[in-house]
Amino acid sequence: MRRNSWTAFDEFVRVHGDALIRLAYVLCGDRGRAEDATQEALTRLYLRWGRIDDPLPYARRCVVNATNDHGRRSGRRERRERLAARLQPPDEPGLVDEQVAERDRLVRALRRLPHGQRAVIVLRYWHQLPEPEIARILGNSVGTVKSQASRALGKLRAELQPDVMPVSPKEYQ
Amino acid sequence: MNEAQLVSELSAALDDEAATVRAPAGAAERARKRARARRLRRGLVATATAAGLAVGLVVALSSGPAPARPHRPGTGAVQAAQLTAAGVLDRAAVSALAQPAVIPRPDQFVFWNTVNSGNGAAEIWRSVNGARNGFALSGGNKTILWGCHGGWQTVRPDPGSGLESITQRCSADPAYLPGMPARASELRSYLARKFGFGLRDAAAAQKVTEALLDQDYLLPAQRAALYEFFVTIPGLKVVPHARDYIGRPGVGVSLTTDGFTAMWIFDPKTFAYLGSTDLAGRQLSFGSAVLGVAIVDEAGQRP
Repeated sequence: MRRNSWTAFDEFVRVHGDALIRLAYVLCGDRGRAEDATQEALTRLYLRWGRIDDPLPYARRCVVNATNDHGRRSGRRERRERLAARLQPPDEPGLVDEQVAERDRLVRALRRLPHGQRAVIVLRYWHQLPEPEIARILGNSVGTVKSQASRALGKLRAELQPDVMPVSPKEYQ
Repeated sequence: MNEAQLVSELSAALDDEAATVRAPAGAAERARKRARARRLRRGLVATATAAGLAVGLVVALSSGPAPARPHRPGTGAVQAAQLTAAGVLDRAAVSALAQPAVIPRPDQFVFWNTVNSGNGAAEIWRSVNGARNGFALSGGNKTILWGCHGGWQTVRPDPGSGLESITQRCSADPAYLPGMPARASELRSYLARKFGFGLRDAAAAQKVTEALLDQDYLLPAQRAALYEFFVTIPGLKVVPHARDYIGRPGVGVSLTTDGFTAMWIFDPKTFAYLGSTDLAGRQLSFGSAVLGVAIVDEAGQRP
């Protein structure tokens, strides 16, 4: 049934707005870009409001796509950020809380993942969504979601082993 | 670290990371406005342009302060193909200033006639101060543009839709911007306030074109100031033999960044604004051609 689009949309944004911008933020790592991506997602959602039965998965999909679009449009900046994340100095034991340092390393390692794998990890293990729902959000098959999750976890584990990551000369270009 | 520990730590890390991030106030309202603007731009509602005054444009005031006058060419003798981007924009500014400064009454409507890559031909009537209901005709569809009076609006859906009328808070979306500066030097801060970004890349240029050139009614001085401000954007290029969306020959001024191109197209003789073309790579992302703009007393009235 067609809903009262104006009030229902406001209510949706009130209830889910914070979660959507947080999803955007952990995917792109920049508040300004997260705001842009969320605003873009809400705009796309509003354009289809009343024609979709379940707006939350669609909104999540828009957020994921918008953070990816943003990355594509600013590929050079993203490369610089990935490089910066990789060049962070290794944590010095004793100077910061070990748990804080570990979590910081995890977040930086997550940001080094390709966007698709990052999205799978965030939706699967942070939002705790079932694989079929993630597949629907990302427009992939369940098999692809599983394999991306597996590859991403493997990379995270591998990247957390050494303190300093090798940097390819190509990334300086 | 085993997988369960990794996942648990990762989840906690992301909780910490995102804990202080909040959706900005007014996100829903901004989404509505942007959606409305996008519908306009894509032709779902319609697209139109303000006082750039394409070829053959007539400004008609049924009871307004100035008589109807045909478009007057600006500096037509110049060979557009030999100009730089700054030269084209300078002449476009001169051309704009040569037009009559028609200040609309708040209760009037701005009528635009346009063709765009979204839905083809479109006609739109937008309330000058945003308080009255306007509408758009495109592809045989009529879309109401609900007015906003004193911060409130009443939306009355079609009788057959099953929806009830609703009165709600709103922000007016006026077609005329009396607060927009008419000096290029003041536009930087105005655009920063209005759009929240500096005009330095094609995506930003697209947004400004979408909002100001393709939807809002600008006075000649405001339009000229905007063109003069465009000159300050680094990286502009002239496209000597451009064509607008309906194939009219023109001279283009383009800005390309990150694979996106925004291009304004002007008449090669009069330097009147013809329309805009956006490209993603070499693919047309959006194209519009302006056929006319006028001030009228009532929505639905044509000049």
